[in-house]
Amino acid sequence: MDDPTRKATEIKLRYERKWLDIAWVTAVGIGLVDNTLVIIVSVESNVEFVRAQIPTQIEGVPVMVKLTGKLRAQ
Amino acid sequence: MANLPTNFEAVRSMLNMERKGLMKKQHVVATGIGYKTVAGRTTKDLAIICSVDTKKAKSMLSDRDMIPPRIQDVPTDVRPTGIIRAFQVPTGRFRPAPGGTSIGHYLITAGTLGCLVKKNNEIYILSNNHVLANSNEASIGDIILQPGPYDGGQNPQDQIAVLSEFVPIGFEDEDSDCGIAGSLVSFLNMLSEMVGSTTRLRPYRIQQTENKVDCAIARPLNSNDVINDILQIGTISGVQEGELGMNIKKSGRTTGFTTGTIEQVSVSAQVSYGTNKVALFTDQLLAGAMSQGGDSGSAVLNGNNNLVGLLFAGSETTTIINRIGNVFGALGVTLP
Repeated sequence: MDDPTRKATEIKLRYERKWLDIAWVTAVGIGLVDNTLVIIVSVESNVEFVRAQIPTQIEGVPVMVKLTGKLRAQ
Repeated sequence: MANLPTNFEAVRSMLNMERKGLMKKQHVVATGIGYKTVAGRTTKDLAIICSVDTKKAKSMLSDRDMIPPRIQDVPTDVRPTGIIRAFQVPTGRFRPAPGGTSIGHYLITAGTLGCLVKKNNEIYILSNNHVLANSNEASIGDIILQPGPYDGGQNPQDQIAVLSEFVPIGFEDEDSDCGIAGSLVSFLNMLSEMVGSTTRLRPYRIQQTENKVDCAIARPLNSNDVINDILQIGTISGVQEGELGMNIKKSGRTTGFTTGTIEQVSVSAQVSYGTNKVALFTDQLLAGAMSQGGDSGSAVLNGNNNLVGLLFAGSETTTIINRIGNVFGALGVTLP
């Protein structure tokens, strides 16, 4: 893992527990959007409800909310 | 349809006459008509193409097995294609069974045989806990069927292995194994009984256990019943860490061969295991839609056939993958 990804991961770790406790949130990860590292919050449904409770960036890292549906063991 | 070269019928007649003789030569697996290639470039000359399982040096072939450069005035071309096998659906019975085929504990539906791994110089089948160990409910030595029960696998005729080891999955709100909590609850339940109440307390863990893997291994009954190969992919070259943007592929019981890209790393995900069972997984890889129910246990490889993960969960849009380093570390296994 390169340094920028490691740093974004450390920031994510500080907040993800709180975000995972929000209804409909299923996952939090690090992605790359337009060559920028972002924290991606995946939600089962109700994107707008979750988006209203999560900042658009945290400690300089953009945060995106994305609809993925329920994650099930396959 | 494009116009055929003027000599196509002549070449076809020649091939029809020579086909039997060519197919008897060692290593030839197919014959056909195509354009001859020279030094990697396609020419405009029609040729009789001989597909071979492996291309051998002339010095290693007998005169009888040599393919002449021309048959009368028609050129020939030799192309290595590997062994051509009839396509078999991954839900069928395979002996030997490769990765990408149906497998399962005798009490589940079906999942996917990931690949073979080695531990203490013995070969094992790698897949998920929820495929081989029925999501913690199995016992070591339990029967593993190929194909899985949903695909018609029956005991004992389709037993391929026995469950050898699994990494338990920690589920949310499971009963607590904390001694202090247990003693306190016992005391309070005793008081409750003394005052005539029929209500009892139950200790359970509110802090979610963090899982990194959903994995298990099973020992084949006979080493000849498995093969170190993955359907539609081939042999694993090595092991590599999954990274953002890496192109990946898998072969699974339900959706067969699919490809994708690692879109997220360091993923923490809450995964549903049927009714009222949820488990938190950390340090996962996330890709787009490349799997469905029954693909769990698939080995995930990169473009160079290096193993990067073990597929175990997903949604309509998403696939969640254990990092292979975490899987191998938890089970103490390596590639064979």
